[in-house]
Amino acid sequence: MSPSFDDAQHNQFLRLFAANEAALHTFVRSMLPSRQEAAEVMQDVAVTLWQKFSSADDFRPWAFGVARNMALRHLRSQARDRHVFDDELVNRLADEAATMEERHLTQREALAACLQKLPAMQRELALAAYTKGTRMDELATQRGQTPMSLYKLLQRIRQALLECVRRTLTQEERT
Amino acid sequence: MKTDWHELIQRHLAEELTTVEEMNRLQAALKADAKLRALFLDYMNLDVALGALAGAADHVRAPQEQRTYRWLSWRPLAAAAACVALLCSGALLLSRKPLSTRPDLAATFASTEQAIAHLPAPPLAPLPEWISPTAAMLDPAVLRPLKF
Repeated sequence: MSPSFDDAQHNQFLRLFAANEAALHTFVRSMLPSRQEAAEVMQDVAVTLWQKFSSADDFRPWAFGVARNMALRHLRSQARDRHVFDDELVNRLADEAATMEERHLTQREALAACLQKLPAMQRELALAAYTKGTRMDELATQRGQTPMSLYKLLQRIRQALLECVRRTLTQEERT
Repeated sequence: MKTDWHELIQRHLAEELTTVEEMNRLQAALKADAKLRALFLDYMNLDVALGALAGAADHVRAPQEQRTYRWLSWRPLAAAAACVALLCSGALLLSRKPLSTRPDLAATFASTEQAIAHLPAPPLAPLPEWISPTAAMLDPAVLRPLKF
């Protein structure tokens, strides 16, 4: 049985969305002050993209435009607090994030290997800290640490990971 | 004092850990320095990628545990059942037939043990391919074929 038009359209949307989702997420994350807000806006972006998919000519620039508008709308709807950059910087970061897709894709691909290079305890901590629903104060208590010492340790782990993925990128550019 | 940008950007990532003065300093520096903006965006990308990896690890962990449990439980049970069946048939034969007509039990046990040792292992579940968390929210049915 051949798929109906809706099924075909749905499949096409999912293919395009899956191919661009990580880049869109980084783009939205760069505009918003928290991971949680970025995840919420991404859900709205996904729904809006699907609802208006039939009006899209060129998916990628259109999707980035929708994501930018929705992230800006979210920023405006929130009481502006001290953790939000001004519009000029938010827009500049968004512009540059959109041009760094290739670089960020390479870094994401390198991340799993870089995680494996970490000592097991650090790797588990990094993944635990990023698991949905994890509370840093509870994680710190479980590990017999203060939240601040846990944050410091996570900072060192993230920095090590970033340096590792950046090194991978440099090596790939040389070859 | 020289600013540790890695530290300040990461404190910004953790939201509540920056002061107004630090946010203003970070904002001014980001506007002025393209390299710092690239570092900031790399950290944002890392933040998103770690979240995705942690989510994927969460998806994978449960089925792996289930698989281990199944593997530990079915094979000894199957072996025990085979042994019980063999012992019962052996006991029946011994009780009904004269010594001269007994089958070669040692050979039977050996061949059965060999057969048990060669029981096929359960197929390993393939690691899931990239699972789009948002696509899953959109249409869980789409992910059904990817179940492992």
